Amino acid sequence: MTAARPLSRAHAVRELHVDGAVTLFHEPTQTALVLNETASDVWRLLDGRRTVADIVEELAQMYAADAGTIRSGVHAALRQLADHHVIDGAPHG
Amino acid sequence: MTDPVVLDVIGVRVEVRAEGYGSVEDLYAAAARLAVERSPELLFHAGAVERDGVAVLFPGESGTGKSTTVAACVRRGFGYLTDEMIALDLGTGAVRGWPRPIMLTPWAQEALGLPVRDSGEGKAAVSCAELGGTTIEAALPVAHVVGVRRGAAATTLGPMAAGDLLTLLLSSSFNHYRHGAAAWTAVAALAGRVQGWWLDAADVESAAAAVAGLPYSRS
Repeated sequence: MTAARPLSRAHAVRELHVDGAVTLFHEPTQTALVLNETASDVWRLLDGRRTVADIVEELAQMYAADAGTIRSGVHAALRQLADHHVIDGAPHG
Repeated sequence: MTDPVVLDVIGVRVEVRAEGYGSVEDLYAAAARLAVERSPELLFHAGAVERDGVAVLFPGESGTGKSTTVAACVRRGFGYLTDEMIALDLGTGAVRGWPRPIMLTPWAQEALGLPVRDSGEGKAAVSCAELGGTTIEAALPVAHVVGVRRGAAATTLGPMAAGDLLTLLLSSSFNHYRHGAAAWTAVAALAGRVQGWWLDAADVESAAAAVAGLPYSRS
């Protein structure tokens, strides 16, 4: 996965929202996840068109925050989502 | 060899031989493991009490204060469901408890003002009746889920974020793997119906008083 490649959600992932919290269920591994705020933000922006850079830019604007700070959080969230197979691949760097 | 002890663990009949275990607590733990292996229901590691026809759950690992909090609530007039395990009906969302004797450490017995039984086995089995309570075996809707945290300077009860509630419930399930997505869906539905609370407990009596102060009504 590179910053220029659009990211998308993996197939076979079910999603439920409970009072603003996002929980995912990955059918092949029968794994349930509860996303924290950063991972929830990232998950909402995984539409198959946005790249990592797009996501960082949008969240930096949304939170009026430094892109460098946002980038590290986004990369950490993407790594964890990838570790649980709910997105394809993992970000580098 | 003695006859086996036969227990009904939320509808699962298990047999354990007392001489195989060092304490009553160990015997009940063995019964719980057998029930988890065999039960067709979704089971959770949680204490539970009843008021006005609804259940309050205290999910959590051993040592988090489930049994002590449950015992203190029973002494305050709550009905007793369990201090260890509940079954969640995947269809209705109602829960039933395993109303075994409440397993209390000497510290908990003293904190509750009970005569301390020094059995040399760690925890003592205290019946619901000894605490002046009533056992509830019916399936009940859940009103509140309370995460107990011990060691606070003052007892406080505050709302639990939905993400924390989901995490607490999912991590407290004994056998979700057997039910797959149905278990996940049922937990999410339960989390959406109930109020979640963090109970930071300074002592058992004020903790039970805080639980008693929650709103109770069967909708």
